[in-house]
Amino acid sequence: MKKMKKIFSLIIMAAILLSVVAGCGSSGNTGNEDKATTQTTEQNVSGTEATEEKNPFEKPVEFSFASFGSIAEDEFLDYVSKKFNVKIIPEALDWNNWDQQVNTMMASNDMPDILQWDHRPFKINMFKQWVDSEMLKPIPDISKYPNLKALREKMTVMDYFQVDGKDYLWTKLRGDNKWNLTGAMGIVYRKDWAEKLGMAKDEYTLEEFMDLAIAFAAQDPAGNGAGKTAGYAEVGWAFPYLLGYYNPYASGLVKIDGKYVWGATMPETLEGIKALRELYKAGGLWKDFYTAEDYDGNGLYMANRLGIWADNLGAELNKLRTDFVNANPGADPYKAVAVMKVRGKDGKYYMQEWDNTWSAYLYSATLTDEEMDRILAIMDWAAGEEGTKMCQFGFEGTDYEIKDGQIVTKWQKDEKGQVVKPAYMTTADAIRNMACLNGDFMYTDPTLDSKTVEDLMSLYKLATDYPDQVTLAKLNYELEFFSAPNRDKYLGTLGTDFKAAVMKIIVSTDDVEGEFNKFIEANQDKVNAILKELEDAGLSAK
Amino acid sequence: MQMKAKSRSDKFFDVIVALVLGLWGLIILYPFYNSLLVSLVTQETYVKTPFMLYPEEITFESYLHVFKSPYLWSGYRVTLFVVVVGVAYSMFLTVTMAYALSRKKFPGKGLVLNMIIVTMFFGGGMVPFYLLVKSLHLVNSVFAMIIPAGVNTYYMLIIRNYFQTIPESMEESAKMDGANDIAILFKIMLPLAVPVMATVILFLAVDRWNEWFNAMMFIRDSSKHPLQLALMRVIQDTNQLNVGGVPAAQQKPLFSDGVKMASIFVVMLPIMCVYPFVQKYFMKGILIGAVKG
Repeated sequence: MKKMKKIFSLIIMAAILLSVVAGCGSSGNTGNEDKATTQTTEQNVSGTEATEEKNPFEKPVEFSFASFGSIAEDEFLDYVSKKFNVKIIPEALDWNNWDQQVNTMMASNDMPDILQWDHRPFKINMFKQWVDSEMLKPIPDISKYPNLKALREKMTVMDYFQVDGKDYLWTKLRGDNKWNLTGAMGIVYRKDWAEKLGMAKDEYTLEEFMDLAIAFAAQDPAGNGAGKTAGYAEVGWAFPYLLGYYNPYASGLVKIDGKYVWGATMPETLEGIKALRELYKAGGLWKDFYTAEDYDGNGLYMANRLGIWADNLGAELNKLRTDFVNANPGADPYKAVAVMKVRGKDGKYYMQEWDNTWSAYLYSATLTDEEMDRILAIMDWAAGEEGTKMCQFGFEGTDYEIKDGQIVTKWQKDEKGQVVKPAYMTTADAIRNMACLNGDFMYTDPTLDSKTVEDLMSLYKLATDYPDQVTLAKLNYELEFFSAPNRDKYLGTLGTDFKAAVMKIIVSTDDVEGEFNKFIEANQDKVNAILKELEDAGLSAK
Repeated sequence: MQMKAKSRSDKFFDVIVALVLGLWGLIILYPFYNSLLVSLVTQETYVKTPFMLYPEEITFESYLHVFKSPYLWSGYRVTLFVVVVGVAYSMFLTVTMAYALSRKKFPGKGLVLNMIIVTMFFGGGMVPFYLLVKSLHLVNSVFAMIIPAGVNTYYMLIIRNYFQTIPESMEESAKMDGANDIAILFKIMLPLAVPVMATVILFLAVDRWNEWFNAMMFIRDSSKHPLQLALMRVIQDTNQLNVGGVPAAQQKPLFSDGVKMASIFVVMLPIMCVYPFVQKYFMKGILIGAVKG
């Protein structure tokens, strides 16, 4: 027994010692050391072959790719892998913990070869630290990649992320708006209800819009019962969208005559908040808006319990119409989900400028030049005509054919008549996403309703075709990318606090002006500190 | 002692209590029931009556989508492996540590115990933890879900407390018969500690079944993702969250809320099937550690 006890103790001690030794055994990037040693060998070998012209994809290349795309082992991946002689190792990112994943990988110096990152301007300092720490590979000269070059020229936001004149990330062009930078934030409404109430019009003034919202709630054209129909609601993340009709810069800072002022202190902002309060009191604004999740109003709309809904129509209009018909068979989607034209008090349409990119890719400094070239080759193909067609339609002959110069798809339909694309189209989408988003697909997607595309196009082109009829909330990269201690500390929270304050004022019974002035007083010092920094940086007149 | 017969008012009070608690139970159960219904109906039915008592028509489309997902079966496989191996590994470490710390004659016990308890309140942070796991070559390995979670301090304390309630005389008489600590642990302590063992095994199994965070941080290969993360992926893909501001590619439009609810039941069902058999241990176990400090 004693002997057994000793043997057991020895085994446990040996296990502990072994685990300590194993733990001390290595450090640094896993797998990347292998890359570093083979790189030297490859360079020695390739030097002797320099004089011979060779297939650019002769050497197989492997890289890891962390994104939200769904890349499966299917025919499409097989095609791309063979065409470019690559092995793509997909790595999944989690939407709800995206930032935490990226930050941990970067802080631990353990990033994949390509990493999708939320490249918002307030993260510029962190990005520059990564560049300074030599964690990222700069994108080389892309003049030999014409499709990428064309994309790069459209993505002006990348200029702000340059370090020493080099691009260390690749943003993804959305591609939905080919004419300008306006986003597709807009309003849809129940035109059929408006016709029923005798209030249908081609365009509405702000007052007429509010009257319609109140009428929908009060007169209940759907017959849901008293108090069960809401007039107007908007997607939560855009609140207070309607306030933009009064002052597009209500929640932030705006440069007027060379000097930055706080939008909240402009008289139009207070006027707008008062109008929203009146709308809420009169029942026109959905009474539960302040407790609802972002898309709860969408559910109400589908259930015929909401008359007017504001949302990102670029992403949602087709889905809204499709979902509405699914939920209400036989309904006319163009009347039930009609795009509403509203003119503000200045007689103009209100639109917002959005960055034309979404998210970006970071490239690990451990990538060799050859690997980087291969990645850029795939990206250039995906952004070009051949790759775009494949990524959007599939394989010619199998999934589509060209008839009279037009693409005709061979996709199957299910029992509901809905098109069912081949399973590998999600892989195709992910591959295209290496270069850009598939926003331009809306113009060629045969499953997308043509009237919906027309509606979106007219929305996008408004600011270009009728610039004098549009009040545009312009993007301000100067402010977005300006970094100073108080600006970094307060500007982001200022917007969130403004939203919360407006919400509270709308639903309360306290004096609007009094409550709003309290908010301004409580935050004036923070704003003054930011304005001082802008002045000191020479960005704002004194 | 004779029980006093209940008066009418007592009985009436009992009825009221039963009604109120019954109603309360229904209120608690209804969201669960509604989730089941949402997983079984079409989008049209859900939109018309989001809160329903019974479905007008049943469809298994959402479940079909979930079960057809390539992530699901690998998720089940990985999770089962993590549960079986993880529980065995954790129990071994937890029980041996608890036993050692329950012995009176253990030089430095107080210091060791305090150092262990400190870890319940303070940690090194995410990045040091990541670096530690990386240094152990566990990144992208299913063992990243098993080895770092080796010992749960709270469960260890529960077992330790229970071991301390076992009379010392049993240990002494075993020692007089020539038994060593290992023999005492396996032949005397563990047989007497079956209730607490079963409880802790159940808690550990549920913990491992619900594992997703370590997988999210350390495992990049989707085929090694546990069930929770696999289903999060299914829901994520259904919600078109892989692009920003433009419609994402989907095979065909889906009822995303239905898929979400179907995923919940796909994850819950195995645990719910096992729970009735271990419920008594669960209830006993909650109290075991609390009674003896």
